Amino acid sequence: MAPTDIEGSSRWALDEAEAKRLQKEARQFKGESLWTDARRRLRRNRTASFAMWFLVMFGGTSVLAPLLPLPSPKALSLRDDAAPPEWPWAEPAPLPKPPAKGTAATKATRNLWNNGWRHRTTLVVDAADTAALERAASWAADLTGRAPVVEVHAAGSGGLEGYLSVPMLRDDVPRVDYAELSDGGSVNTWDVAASEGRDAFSVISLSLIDAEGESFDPALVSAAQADVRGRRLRVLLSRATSVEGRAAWLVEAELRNGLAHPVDVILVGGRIVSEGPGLTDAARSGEQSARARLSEGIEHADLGRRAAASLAAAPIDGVRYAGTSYEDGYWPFTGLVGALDDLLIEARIAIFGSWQTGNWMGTDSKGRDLMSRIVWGSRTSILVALIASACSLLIGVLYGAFSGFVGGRVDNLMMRIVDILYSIPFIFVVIFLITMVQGLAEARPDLEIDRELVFFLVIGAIYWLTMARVVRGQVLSLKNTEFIEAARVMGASTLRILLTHVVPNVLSIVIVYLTLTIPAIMLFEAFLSFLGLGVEPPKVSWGLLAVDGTQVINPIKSYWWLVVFPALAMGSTLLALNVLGDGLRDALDPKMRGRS
Amino acid sequence: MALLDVRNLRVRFETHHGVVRAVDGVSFSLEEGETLGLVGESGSGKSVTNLSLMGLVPQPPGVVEADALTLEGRSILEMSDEELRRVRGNEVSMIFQDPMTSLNPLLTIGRQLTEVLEVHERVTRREARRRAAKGLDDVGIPEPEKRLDQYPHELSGGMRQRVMIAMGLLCSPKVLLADEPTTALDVTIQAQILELMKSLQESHGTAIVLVTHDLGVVAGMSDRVNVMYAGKLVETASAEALFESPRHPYTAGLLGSVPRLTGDTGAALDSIPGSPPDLAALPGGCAFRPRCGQAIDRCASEVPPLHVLGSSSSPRRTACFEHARLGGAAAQGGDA
Ligand SMILES: Nc1ncnc2c1ncn2[C@@H]1O[C@H](COP(=O)(O)OP(=O)(O)O)[C@@H](O)[C@H]1O
Ligand SMILES: [Mg+2]
Repeated sequence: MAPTDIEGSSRWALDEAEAKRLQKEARQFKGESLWTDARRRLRRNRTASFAMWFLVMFGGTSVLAPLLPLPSPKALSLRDDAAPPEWPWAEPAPLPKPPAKGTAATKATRNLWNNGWRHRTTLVVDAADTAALERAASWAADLTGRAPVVEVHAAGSGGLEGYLSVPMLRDDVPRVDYAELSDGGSVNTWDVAASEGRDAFSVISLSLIDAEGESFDPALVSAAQADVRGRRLRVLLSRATSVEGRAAWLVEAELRNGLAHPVDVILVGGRIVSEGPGLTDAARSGEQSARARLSEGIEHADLGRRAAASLAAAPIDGVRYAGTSYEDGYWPFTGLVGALDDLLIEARIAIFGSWQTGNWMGTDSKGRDLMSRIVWGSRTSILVALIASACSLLIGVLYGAFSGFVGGRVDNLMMRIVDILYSIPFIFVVIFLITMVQGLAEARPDLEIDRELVFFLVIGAIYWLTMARVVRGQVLSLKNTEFIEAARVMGASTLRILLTHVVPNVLSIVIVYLTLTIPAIMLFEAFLSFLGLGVEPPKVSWGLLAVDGTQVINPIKSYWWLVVFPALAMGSTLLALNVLGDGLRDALDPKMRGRS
Repeated sequence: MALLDVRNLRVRFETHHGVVRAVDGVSFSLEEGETLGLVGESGSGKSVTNLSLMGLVPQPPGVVEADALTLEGRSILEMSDEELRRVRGNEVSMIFQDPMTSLNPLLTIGRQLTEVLEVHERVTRREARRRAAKGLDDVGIPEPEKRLDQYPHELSGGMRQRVMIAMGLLCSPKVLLADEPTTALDVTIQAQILELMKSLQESHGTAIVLVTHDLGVVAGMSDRVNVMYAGKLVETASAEALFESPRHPYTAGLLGSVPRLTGDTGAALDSIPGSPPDLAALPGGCAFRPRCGQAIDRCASEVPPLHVLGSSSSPRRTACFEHARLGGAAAQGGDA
């Protein structure tokens, strides 16, 4: 036994020495790698590393957006005007002044019904039964601490139905009047009560049901009259959303301009109240997703559940719980990202509860929080930049390097293909493609076509062209350098030459070009979104924010925050990208070794 | 069997401007450990000859033909790409004129040296590194371990050429093709590099094909010298014989244009009148005729073949009617 022991231990001792030598060698090898070197050089470059940290931080913020206690980026509020930034320690801004009657009221209506109320608990009562209505209202008020909005609709069966909705904000406590419309349907007026000494204002809503209880004829556009609370209102009815291929705002503008007589209220299809709350089964049972809870604020979201539970425990005569509807505060991502976002939201609820930041960067003209929109918008912009630069890197570099390196007829053919692609006016192609995709998605909802994905891919498909050209030119000039020839003489294969000699030598150009491409892509995205071909509202991207900002520039009232903050976000990111690109180029150049 | 056997090598480039016969009927052979000088003006086809020995003439536009082009009896022309790759750098390697551009600026010296070994031999990284360091040591680079981690721009031109030579010799090739290895270096460094090549040749036993247009370099290094003009061999002789008595007027012209320290320093150099011909439009007959002071009528109509001159112990050939006659006469005289 003993000899083997000795042998074993001596072998072990040898191994240790060997290991030490190996380690030493490994350390020596470290200095050999271009990348390690580059990393060190980059770290030594103050501005570039600052830019890198800035970008990492920005990217992190954008990825972790659901975790941050920001207001919902698409939740509108009852404001009629963009609100300036408020200091974090300031009192929340009071509700704005009552709007002028007419168009402003329309806007408020729109806000209230479409997006302003992100949560509605609906109770159904027999409208003729005033007592039941009263009972339900006082019950709801007791339960929630605020007066419900009562709506009366023509029920599908021909009678009238009352709806009680509990508004989310304590300040929105409306009183509702109801008037029969001459064309059929009804007009509702709410007085948003002055709960804390603020002025009350009226909100007008409309329910369109014709005399037979059928829904209003979509094709019909007509003016109607209604007496509401002693006031005669001129109402223009239109089902504009069903005017195909026309945006609602366009139709509205046309109607407004083309109309001979003045109108107080213009109601366009999508805003018609009678469409009612879309109750899903989940909402009906009082369940809710984390997302919905978040958009509501946890406290408010609980109202629905509490109402349902209370009503189930002690039923009120003639009052039926119809459900609670929520609106998502965020645009849903599906798949992995969606799951991650849900987790982040849960984490946010656990950490911050219902606390959220105020409008530190102000709100836009629809009352949406600008800071939140910048953070959420960065997701779109970063995503599109990533996809497009990945395409441009992968396709462009490989295509260009191959074409340049092989040369001859292949090169000729490949570059002619690029020329041809170049000569296509891409903006038309993009418009055509996206319109087609949209059409297809509408015709075949079962295909579940993601328009945004198509949009991203189209952008990616364009941006590799220039990259391919740049790389090819670089490779052509590299191909005739002696070190490539030397590598060939040494017996290196084409692939090895491409990977170890050609690609690293074009890399610095590629990186610099990429840092120029990314801003271009972001701007292109903004342009397409502006045309309505890219990101759809209420989703947002930096490009759209910039467009929003430029649209409100006027000499009378400056909404500077709408311009300054998005511009700052985009500008600082692009600057950081450029600085980083510059730093990377220096870092990847061994001639800069030893210098900082 | 000769290490390298080239018989009637013809390389032409089919370009838009016509067919360029860059190499036209070149024959020579190389023995183990021998140094062969290849001399001629720019554009005489020296580099193309070298490239065809490695199977590296770009095709198209190049077309390479030969009666025989063999390395140790294996035909280079018939090798597959894979076989050629195994020959390159391993059995035949090459060093270039400009050491400033023949190293990849982005890779360390060590990385570039070990790459050769990676391509040709199954060695571990540290074995490769050890051998790379030894290679650098062999070519007289101080602190080879440190140099391995440096980038090309951190070395001087002479150092880089040493690195190139180390790289060329790393796999102990049988043939080293040196294409004007000292042209880009200044004179003192030139001498060092040549000295180095000579001693390495002695220790490694490598055969060298030394391409140059500098006759001084050839004189010090070569056993035999081939003089090329317009793609053809015009004279081949041992180095001493050539310098002693150049037989071809072109060789004589080349020798006449080398500056000398002895003799009348005030005398103008004898340069060869005229300029090298356009290979795409060669005149009939001897290509050198327009610049030759001793041309006879026959030179215009016939291409002079390589005549064997001199004794069989020092084989000597020249492609000139005049000197074939003279040398032939001399040889006959010697026999008689
Ligand atoms: N790839 C090529 N295509 C066309 N012509 C070439 C090519 N390579 C070399 N040549 C021609 O071959 C001739 C000989 O060139 P080369 O061997 O490089 O001369 P040198 O003796 O100076 O090394 C030149 O006239 C050159 O124009
Ligand atoms: Mg040459």
